[in-house]
Amino acid sequence: MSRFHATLLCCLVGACGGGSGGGDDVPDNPDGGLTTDAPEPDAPTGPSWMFADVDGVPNLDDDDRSGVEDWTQAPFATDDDYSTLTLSAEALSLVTPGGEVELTLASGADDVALYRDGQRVLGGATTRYAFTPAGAAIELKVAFRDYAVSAQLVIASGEHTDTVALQAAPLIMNHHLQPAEALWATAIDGNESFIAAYQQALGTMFTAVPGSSVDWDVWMQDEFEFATLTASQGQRMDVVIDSIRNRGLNGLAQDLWVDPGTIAQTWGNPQLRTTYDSFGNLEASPPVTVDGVAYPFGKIYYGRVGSSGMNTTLGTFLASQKVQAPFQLPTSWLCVGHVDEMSSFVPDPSSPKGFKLVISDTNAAWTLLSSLSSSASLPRYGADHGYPTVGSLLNDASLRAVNDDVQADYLDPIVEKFKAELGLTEADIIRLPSLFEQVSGCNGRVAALIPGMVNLIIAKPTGSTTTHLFTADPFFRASGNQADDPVIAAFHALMPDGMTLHFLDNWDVYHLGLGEVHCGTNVRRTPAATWWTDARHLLGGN
Amino acid sequence: MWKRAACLVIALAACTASSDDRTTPTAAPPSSSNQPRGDWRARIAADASELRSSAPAHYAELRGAAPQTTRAHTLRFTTELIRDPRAASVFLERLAEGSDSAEVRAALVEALPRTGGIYADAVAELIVNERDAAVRTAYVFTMRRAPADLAIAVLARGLADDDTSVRAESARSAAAHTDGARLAGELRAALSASDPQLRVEAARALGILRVTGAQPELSVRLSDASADVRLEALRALDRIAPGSLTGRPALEALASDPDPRVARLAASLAGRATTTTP
Repeated sequence: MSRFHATLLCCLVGACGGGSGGGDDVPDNPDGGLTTDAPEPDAPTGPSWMFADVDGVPNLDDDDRSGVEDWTQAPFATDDDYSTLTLSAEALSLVTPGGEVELTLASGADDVALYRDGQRVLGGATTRYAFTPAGAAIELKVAFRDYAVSAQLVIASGEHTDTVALQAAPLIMNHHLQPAEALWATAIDGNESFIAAYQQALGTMFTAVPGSSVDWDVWMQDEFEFATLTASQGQRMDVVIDSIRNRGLNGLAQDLWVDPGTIAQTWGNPQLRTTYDSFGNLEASPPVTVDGVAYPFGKIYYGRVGSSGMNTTLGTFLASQKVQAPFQLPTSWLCVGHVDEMSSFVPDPSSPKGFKLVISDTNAAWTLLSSLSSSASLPRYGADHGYPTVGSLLNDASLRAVNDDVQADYLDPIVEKFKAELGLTEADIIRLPSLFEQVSGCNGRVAALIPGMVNLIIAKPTGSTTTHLFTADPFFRASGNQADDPVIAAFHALMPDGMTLHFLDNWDVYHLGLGEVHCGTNVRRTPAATWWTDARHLLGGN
Repeated sequence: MWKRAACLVIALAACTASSDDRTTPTAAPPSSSNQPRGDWRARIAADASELRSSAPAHYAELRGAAPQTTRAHTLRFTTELIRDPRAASVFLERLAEGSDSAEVRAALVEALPRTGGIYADAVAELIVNERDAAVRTAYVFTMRRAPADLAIAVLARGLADDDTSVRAESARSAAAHTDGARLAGELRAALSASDPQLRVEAARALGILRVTGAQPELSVRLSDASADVRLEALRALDRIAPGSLTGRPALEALASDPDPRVARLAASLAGRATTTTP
């Protein structure tokens, strides 16, 4: 079926239920499957069969907790991941009395399975199935083997024929602006204030994972990336992309999240892991349109240049999902080497795109520092970074050189890359005052000197009107009062209106551990948009 | 490497730059609290003894303190516990004993400046007997804000280390030290090192330290086989004498360098020259 007709008929056929949405001018016909609309140019004469395409989620979970992936099993009552293809009684009434309807998998037979009354009738080696209608509608359950697989099903009887596209959902990574359902961080000695701030702001949607259960691994962002699979009949499956990093948090996905409806999967060889395989180095932008092409789920970006970066097994898989068209950024100049150390996104309902890219900017930091008193005392920076005053930062030629070079060699080109890949202009960008410094043991690579406030968490609880932004307290002051902090004041001034800002004390456990707020947090979010209508154009030949 | 140990103490004041090298301060002056007082072994023994008797629990905590794993997979102390000048003596005690793993020793070394205590004199000696290159690299790094004579001696030794990573860190730390230009001779020599990483760091350091005498060697490095070296040599020459590359054929050639960073910088410098030339 043509894409045009697929859309037109979406409300005509039972296979497109669950809010798939068709055109408003299409008459409601729940028994659908038959139309007397103008036939396609190359269609045979007489009424056409035009069945709706079928989308679904790959049946990768284990709804009956049998220890076996549901795809390998026949349908059972609690398996909610099948899609239904309905051949309506009205459509089947056109079959010549006593005649057969023939279903043929013209492609993709290994990637789908079709069941009728619990019996597998198509898929694998079985590519043809015929039956004689008996007056009633026929329902076929459709299962998909893997992410984004597709098949073509030809339905024919006499002069009536149609080809139905069967399409599995692509894996779609969440971006920061989707509603937040749950957040997690690891609680250890020393981050009590950090944990309390989340609990106070978010209540029960925040969970503190006991450090003792995860070998005191606080880098919650790095072990997992949440993604989703959805389909038009209301299916949702959450996918925890489990990193090959495999430190203390490894195993938490199985302990905490894997369940009917949620799976965990790993791409890559843990023996070959590098710091770039942690998922602070894997993010997705909000929805964008680039050169006229809409990316309703945004685009994925991760750190890799040449042979150095996130593993290609995962990178290749993510690219194969097509709808979030990944691109790569250089991160090897950073000691940790993650994209979340220098970039993020915040909502901005007042802007045309609805968001702003937030990027670290060293020039903005020097400008800010130059406006301050050189003698202003910075006790935390004196103790832990060797810079006791604003003047000591301003007067360090080596620090200036390091930051100038980072800006020229990496941050400026990264901004240009973001502009090109996401269709951004300067108006879409917030340049956040940031300074980096070389750190011991990193061979000249740098980490945040001023706590990386770009490393932030956006959480708008599902159903809430409040958008929370959590970031590091920069402690760029001598007092204990955040109101006295010029870096916080600058952050406030730069951020779009409409967010509740929280400046968390993450100095010891996170900042000195070469990470910040985003690094120590993970978020499960509600899927946004509908790929089967909004992103078909990106799936190409599928 | 170990045979060089004896040279270290002798070298304390010997590593000076040639007199024609103009210098510019870089890092903040070292803390006066880090000026050594007497023999460091006697000092840490006394500090440890005092701590054992006055705060035995705190002493035990520092003796048993374990670093956390950073996001970069390295080890680092990230607790408030170490913000105590006495922690420097306890950590030096552990380092002198050498019973911690190399990874933990590197973390102990990294933490020394953050204690606020005195450590530089001990580092100057401990580095000599340290067998692990990563730990020696960490020792070198701590010299960035150490008193000049001690720092220059340690960095000079580091620039002659057998391990490239130690030599490279020594060049970086020289660039970050107020008196780093006293190592101009060693850094200029390092421009001819076989390892490109060392040439990169030497070029950077010479630029940051504004070592005017290094311009001829840096100019040679504009045609280095390594793009990183070309980039840093170009940058260093501009830092030493802004605008001095104006009109030089080398700048025009580098504007079409296959490495985009080099080409971008060269084009930027050429553009700047154009706009500032009447």
